[in-house]
Amino acid sequence: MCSVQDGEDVIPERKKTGKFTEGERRPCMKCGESAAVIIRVNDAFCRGCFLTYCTHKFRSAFGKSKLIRDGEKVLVAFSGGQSSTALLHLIQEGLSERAQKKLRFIPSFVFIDEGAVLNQTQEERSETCQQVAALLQQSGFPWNIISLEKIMQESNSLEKFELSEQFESLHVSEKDQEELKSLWNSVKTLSAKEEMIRTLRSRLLVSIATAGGYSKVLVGDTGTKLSIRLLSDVAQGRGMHLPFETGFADCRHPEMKIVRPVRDFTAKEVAMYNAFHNLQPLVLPALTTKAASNASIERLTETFVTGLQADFPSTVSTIFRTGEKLSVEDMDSEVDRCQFCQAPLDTNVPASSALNATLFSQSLSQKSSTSTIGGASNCDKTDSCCGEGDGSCQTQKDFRLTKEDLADVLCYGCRLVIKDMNSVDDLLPANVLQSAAAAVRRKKMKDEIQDFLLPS
Amino acid sequence: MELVVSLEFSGGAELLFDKVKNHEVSLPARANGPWTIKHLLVWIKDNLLKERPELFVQGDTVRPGILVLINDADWELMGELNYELKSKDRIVFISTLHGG
Repeated sequence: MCSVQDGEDVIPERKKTGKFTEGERRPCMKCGESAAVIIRVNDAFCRGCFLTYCTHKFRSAFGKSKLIRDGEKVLVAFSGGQSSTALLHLIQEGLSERAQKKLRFIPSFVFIDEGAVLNQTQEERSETCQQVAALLQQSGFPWNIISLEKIMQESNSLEKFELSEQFESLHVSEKDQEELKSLWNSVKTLSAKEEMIRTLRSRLLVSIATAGGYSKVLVGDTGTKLSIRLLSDVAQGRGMHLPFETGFADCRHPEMKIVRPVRDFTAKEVAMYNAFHNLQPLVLPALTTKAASNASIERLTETFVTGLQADFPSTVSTIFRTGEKLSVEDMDSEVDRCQFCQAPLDTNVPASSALNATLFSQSLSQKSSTSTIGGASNCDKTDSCCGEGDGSCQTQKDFRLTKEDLADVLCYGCRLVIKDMNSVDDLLPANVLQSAAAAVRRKKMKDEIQDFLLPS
Repeated sequence: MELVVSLEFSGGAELLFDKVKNHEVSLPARANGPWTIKHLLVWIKDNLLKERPELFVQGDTVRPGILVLINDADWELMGELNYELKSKDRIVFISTLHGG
């Protein structure tokens, strides 16, 4: 129970820094040996106890959730960074014979090469892939490397996903490469770019996993990263999606769950785990490598959270636990989803809402003569048909999506990303445009027949 | 008397040091008092850092999000900035920040 009395000190605990003199090193709170790492304000652990604590935490994350069944095939997204490296090692340990309570799933690993959006040359990209391949090969698990360009392919899922044994070269078609490049260049701000790549990456992971017959994807997001995301998501209009973005399992996709088994670890714990095990994570550049602290919203939030964490070590866990209180009701498959990030639409709101107020003031400040509250556009209807009937359905044959049409079937956060782009025509991956067009048509049709439907 | 210590930068911190991870350095004798981590940071900033010092040090301490290990132990156990360096100490800096 919460028992804060009036006048009681509720200021978060500040980090203590004492003067250190030899022989005074704090003992491990478990076994009394001299400690090697401080996890929270007063919790000091020795090396051995710390590593046991990590493995235990990792296993119990699976145990508690009961999400992954014995013998289930899972796909693990591997980026080569700190948390991926720790995740790979934890899985390896957990599956080994000497583990006390063995993990019982069957992992395969996939690395997504994002060199294209980092302006890397073909040589740099294949060097990166070689390094990753060497690491994955060493692990003894099946793996493959996929380029981000694959997201531009027409079909909604890849035809097939095969695991490989060795890395030869990155297969990138010129057409996909060009398309991704023009999409990327049309996004102006770094914040929107980061959002874009995150959505593209997770779409690609899901389609890889679908093609490979998996039903779970494991990712290595740490608690620190998720609390940063929590705050930056709120700042970027994704408040509705917090439970999906930061929960243990992201179940926005009907057939696929994205699981975050290391979310109970802080970035510090992960780095310490790697250091104690002598693991060498790869250092691959990201969009904000060497960028200023205010380069993007996410970067700025990171600076804020890590800065606060340095003085108040309970910052991350406070943000994190608060975020955990949010949850979503079980989604039925009927709910309308954002056609880009697949989260349920948060734009179906009453007339007097912040969203509609924003749209209204937007339409006022634009010169357009028509009122476009709700983002509906009046385009000239030409009589054409889907080809099925006698022309009476008035479906336009050559259906071109305008920015407004598209915004209608996107969630608020994705609308902001699209708004940042110069144009959307033909730039977004073909499968996104196709499903968006279908959704727009469905919506229009529904509006047209609305009056004839029986109220349910 | 010179003090020889080994420094290691990882997790992306090495990008600011010409991508060189390991540095064996000998620190000149200090006239007033022993070498502490606080002095070491200033020395690194003046002698080793190749670019963007604000991404490594902030104020008189390391940028939040960069971990410091002294002889494989968390520096928070060792008195942080006030730790007195000894010969052959191994100081590791690990960046936990996104993108290094």
